[in-house]
Formats: sequence, structure tokens, C-alpha cells
Amino acid sequence: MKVLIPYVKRYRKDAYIAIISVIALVFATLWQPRLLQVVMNAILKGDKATIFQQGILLIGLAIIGIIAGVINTIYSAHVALGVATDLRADLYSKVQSFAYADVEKFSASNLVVRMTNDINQVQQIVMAGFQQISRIPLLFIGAFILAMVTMPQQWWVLIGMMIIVLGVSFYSYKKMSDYFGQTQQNIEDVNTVARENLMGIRVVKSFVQEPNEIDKFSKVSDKLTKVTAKIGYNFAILMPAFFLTANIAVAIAIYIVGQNVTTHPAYLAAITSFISYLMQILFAVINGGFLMIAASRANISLGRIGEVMATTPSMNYVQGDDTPVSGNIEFDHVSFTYPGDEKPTLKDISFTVKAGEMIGIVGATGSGKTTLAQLIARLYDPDSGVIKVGGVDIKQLPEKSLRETVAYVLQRSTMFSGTISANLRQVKEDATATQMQWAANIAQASEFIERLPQTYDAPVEERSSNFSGGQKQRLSITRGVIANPKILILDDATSALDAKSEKLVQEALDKDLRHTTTVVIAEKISSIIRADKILVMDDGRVVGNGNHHQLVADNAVYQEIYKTQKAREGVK
Amino acid sequence: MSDLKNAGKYYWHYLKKYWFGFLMTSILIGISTACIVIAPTYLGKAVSELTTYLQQWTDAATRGNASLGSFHKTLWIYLGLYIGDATTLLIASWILARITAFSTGTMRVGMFRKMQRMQVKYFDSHSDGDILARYTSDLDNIFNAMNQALIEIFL
Ligand SMILES: Nc1ncnc2c1ncn2[C@@H]1O[C@H](COP(=O)(O)OP(=O)(O)OP(=O)(O)O)[C@@H](O)[C@H]1O
Ligand SMILES: [Mg+2]
Repeated sequence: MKVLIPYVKRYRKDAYIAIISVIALVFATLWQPRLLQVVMNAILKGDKATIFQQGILLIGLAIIGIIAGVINTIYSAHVALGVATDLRADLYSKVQSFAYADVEKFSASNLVVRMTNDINQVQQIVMAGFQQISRIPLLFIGAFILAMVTMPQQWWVLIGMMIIVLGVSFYSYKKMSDYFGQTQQNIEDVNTVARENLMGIRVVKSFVQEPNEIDKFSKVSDKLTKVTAKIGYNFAILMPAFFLTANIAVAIAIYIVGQNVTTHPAYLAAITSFISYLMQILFAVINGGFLMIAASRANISLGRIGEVMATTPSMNYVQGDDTPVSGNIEFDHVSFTYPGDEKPTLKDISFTVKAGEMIGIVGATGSGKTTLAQLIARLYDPDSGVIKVGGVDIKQLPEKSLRETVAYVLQRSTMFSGTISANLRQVKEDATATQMQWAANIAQASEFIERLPQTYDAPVEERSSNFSGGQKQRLSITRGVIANPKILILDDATSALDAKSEKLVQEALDKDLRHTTTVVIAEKISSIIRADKILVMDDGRVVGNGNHHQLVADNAVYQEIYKTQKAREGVK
Repeated sequence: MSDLKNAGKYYWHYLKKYWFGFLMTSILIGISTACIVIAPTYLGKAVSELTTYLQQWTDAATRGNASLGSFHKTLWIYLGLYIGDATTLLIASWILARITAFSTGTMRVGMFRKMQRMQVKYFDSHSDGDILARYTSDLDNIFNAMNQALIEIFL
């Protein structure tokens, strides 16, 4: 909870207003029964002047109460919203600073839950806090004192009731927060099974694992159900127990007043206000309990947020000016293991590419082509060895320089939702219409974009679902070339294009991006046959490095791939 | 509108087997409400009986007749009503808690079963996060809403 203090401090003014208004509200609430008592006495005596005078006061008090309540709600909401927004912004910028591996550690969906669900919990507790936190103790103490003043003789009834009510609450709130902790755990378990199942849904289906999976899920789900039911049972006991205790206290109080009515007749008129105060004490305790439960839930959420905040990005970029570098690439004995894996995915890789060259990478699926490309873009750092771009170790390059130098078209990339031009401007802020057209021409995308009613301002839906596979790839390539990068990596980026369009893209790249180093990862040898240099990958190693003619002549792995592909084409 | 109807059918499917529980809760809540409504009148009665007693006692002529007997009886009834209210309310909320917890549980497993029967196509067209959210936040929301709704309807 302490983490919240600096955030609340930014909204100090609103916070003070919320607290002051709540004090006014408590004052109005507490004073009402007293005034009512005076009015009742006056009515009994038939004292019209007092009735009128006190009646006005009573109405005034009610109005003050209402206004204070409204003001309190508004300003509490201000503070809560402000704190939540700032916290979310900080969390977001923290996540932005994360390396790719850090995001994978939490998983993207988990981070989203923390940014939405958990922050909402915090927002609710801040709101409730400013509405209740000063109100509960004030109301509690105030009602207690006033009840004492009203019937001093019955202090022990009050104390007795309070001991029982507080005892019951502490006991069940304690148990309840245990249960809430368990719930959180159970929800995570349910999530894990569901997620595993989702990821491997094809495997599950093709191996007819459904009954097993349902059994497994039922087990974790039942646990969650049982804890939820237990929480419900506890809540079920609370309310009746509170009200019964309070009403027993009322009955005892009246009984005592009855026994002593001949010696203390004045207490008769005080019964109603005494009961009011008893109920106010009770409500203070009930609200306090709810606040405690909400606080313990929010505390769990704060912990989850704190965990993200406390993570230091596993990759640091040097600060510095945007230094332009050339398009050379150099790998020097690079090995890499994915975080959490035991065996390296890339083993002792060395090669060089001169600026402006085209380099092809081929190899079986899982041989490490994508991984190698990710290292050039510094999505991960290698375990050992050095990667240089433009002759500079990429660990010594400021992030901005690296991003401007290397454009990476992902194997399965999608656009952000928005418009086409917004996506392009994310890469190149000041892209003009002509530049967009130029890029789209290279990617063979201009034809279909210009047929859209809004052309470059056409909407892009989530996961680019309003575009076909081939259109998505063309758009991704457009985005890749828009900033005219020194190095362009195309990871299987033309797989959904027909042979003719693919050829047109390559010709355009050759012509318009002549000085750009292009790294083309492809399944089909025909896509990279013209490359200046081809790397053949096999199980994380580079087993061949040369142009097509050299490799066909002397590389076994390459020959194998080439033979099978040619045979397949022959069949067609 | 047809969405609403479908939703109604969906809940009915999961809730219909609890009809006896709902019937019991309705009766219990009826009793409890009656107790709460009647109890304050006995409070008023007790106070006025006390006032009468005080008047009789103050007057020397009637002091001999003054008795707290009916006052005590009224207080006992008052207490009895609140005990009745508390027990019926306790049982009713206990049943409701059970129903909400278990029907959400059945819904969760039902959804998982359904997921197993879906075609792979469905998983291609929905993002994983989207589907997962249904297990956690959507069900959580349903649970809270149902809790709220049942409490509002019955209590
Ligand atoms: N994020 C990751 N965490 C752990 N292991 C990974 C990760 N991504 C890939 N791998 C593993 O690293 C190996 C190489 O994967 P990579 O994606 O580089 O292959 P690829 O050559 O691009 O294959 P494809 O032709 O199918 O795209 C594979 O065995 C894969 O299981
Ligand atoms: Mg790949």
C-alpha cells in the first residue's frame, strides 16, 4: 500500500477536499439523531417554536450531509482515477523498457491482466479508501461517544456488543483473506490448464486427449468452486450474526431502561437515538470489514504490479546520439540459448555480409533461422560472441540507431489496429504520401491499397483480420521498407505471395533499395537463388556459406533441399 | 434482443436444476422479511407500554396496578422475531452462496468441454488471450453479477 503514497500525493488537493467533505458528512450523520431527540421532546411538550427552529436545523443538516457526500464521491473518484491512470502509465512505460525476453517471462497476456484487472482493483480501493477510511473510525468513535452520553449507565451493553461484533468480524475476515489468497491461486491453476490446452489444441485433438483434459480441468475447477462456496458461506453467516447481536443489544438496553424507568424516566426519550447510534456503530464495523477485504485483494494486485515494476530490463542500451552506421553485418563466434532452455539454439555462428549485399538463409524448420534474425535486431543478446552492424558491436549502439538501421519483417507479422498510414508513420513519423506510395510499390501493395475506398487511410482491424494473408505480407513489407533502412530482414515474408509477385518484389528491392543489405529467409530456394551469399543452417549451425552455384556443387544439405524442391516442382 | 433471449436460455440451462433451492430461499426470505417488518412495531409497543407503566406508577392512585409484565412479553417477542429473521436469512444466504458457486463451476467446466468440441478453425480466428479471458474475467463477472442479482432479487 505504501507504493501508492507518492501517487496520491500528486492529487493532494483533491484528496484533502475528499477528506474534509467526509468529515462534514460524518458530523451530519452523527448529529441527526441528537437533533431528532430534541425535536421529539419538543413535540411531546407541544413547544412549536423549538419544533420549527430545530426542524430547520435538521433539514439544513440533511442538506449538508447530501452535499458533502456528493463532493466526497466526486473528489474520491478524481483521486482514484488519477492514481490508476498514472500507475498504468508507469507500468506501461516499464513494459516498454523491457527486453523481448522479459515480456516472454511474464507472458504478454499476463502483463495485460496486470495493466487492466489489477490496476482496476487498485483504483477501487483508492476510491473506497477516500470514501470510507476516515469515515469509519470517525463514525465508530463518534457514535460510541454519543451513545455513551445518551445512556451512560449502559456502557457495558455497548462494550459487550462491540466485543462480539469485532470478534466475529476479525475471525471471519482473517479466514476470508486466506480464502481469497487461495482463490487467486486456483484461478491461476484454471488458467494454466486452459492455456496449455489452448496452445496445444491441435495436439489434444489429433491424439484424442479430450477426456483426459476434461478430467484435469474439472479437478482444478472444482477446487476453485469449493473455495468460492466457502467464501460465500462466511458471508452468509456475517450479516445475520451482526444484526442479531445488535438487536439483542437493543433488547437488553430497553429492558434495562424498563427496569429503571421509575428512577431515570428521561432515558425513555433517549431510546431511539441510542438505537440509531448502535446501528451506526454496526454499519461502521460492517463497512470496515468490507474495506479490509477489498484492501487485501488490492494488496495482492499491488504485489503483482510491484513485481513488474521491480523487474530491471535484462537488456540495456547505451545512451547516446543517433549515430548513423552502414549496412555491414558481422557475426563472430555467436552462440545463443533461449532463456530457460538447456541446449543452445545457435552454435558458434560466424559470417560477414557487406553493405548492399543480398544474403539468403535456408534450412529445415527449427534450424534457427528466425532466431538468427532476431539477434541481428537485438531482440535477444547472445551468450557469447559478438554481433556487429556497420562495424560496431550492437551492444554499443543506442536503441534508436539500431532500430533505424535494421528493419525486420517478421515471419508472421501483423499490423496494429488503426489505419495503414498510421502503421507506416509508426516507423517513419514524417512519411509523405509519395514515400508511402514508393514503399507500397516495392511491396507490390499499391495496387490493392489504391483500390480501397480510403486508400492509405483505410482502417486496419485487430490482427489485420480485414486483409488476406498475401495482403498482410505486402503491408508488412511496405512497413519494412518505408524508412529506407540500411538493413532489411525478410523472414519468410513472401511465402503467401504468388511466384510472379514475389519476383516483382525482389526486382523492386534490387532497384529501389540497391544500397540496402537484405537478409532473406526463405523456404524456397527459388526465393534466394540470386543472393550474393547463402547461409545454409542445420540444427543451429551454419553448415554452408556461398552462392547458389558453389553450394549446389559442394554442400550436401543444400543439395538435399534443392533436390526435393526441384522434384516437387517437376511434379507440378 | 435475441442475444438477451439466448442469454436467458443459457442461464436457465444452468440454473434450472436449482429450482428447489430457489423455492426454499424464496420461502425463507419471505419469513425473514415478515420478521423484519413486524419487529419494529413491537419495539414501538414496548416503548409505549413502558410509557403507560411510568404514567400509572407516577400517579399514586394507580401505582398498585402498574406492572411490567406485558412489557417483558413484548420484548421477548421482539427478540424472537429477530432470531427468526437471523436463522432464515442465514439458511437462505447459505443456499444462494452454494448455488452461485456451483453453477459458475458447472459453467466453467461446460465451457471447457465445449472448447474441446470446437473446430480448430475457431482457435485460429480468436486470439488466445481472448479465449482465456472468458475463463477468468468473464466468468468472474458472471459470478459477481449473479451474486448481486440473486441477492437483489431475494434479499
Ligand atoms: N521463444 C522461444 N523460446 C524457446 N525456444 C524457442 C523460441 N523460439 C524458437 N525456439 C526454438 O529454437 C529453435 C529454432 O527456432 P527458429 O524459430 O529459429 O527456427 P526457424 O529456422 O526459423 O524455423 P521455421 O523455418 O519453421 O521458421 C526451435 O527448436 C524452436 O523450438
Ligand atoms: Mg522461422
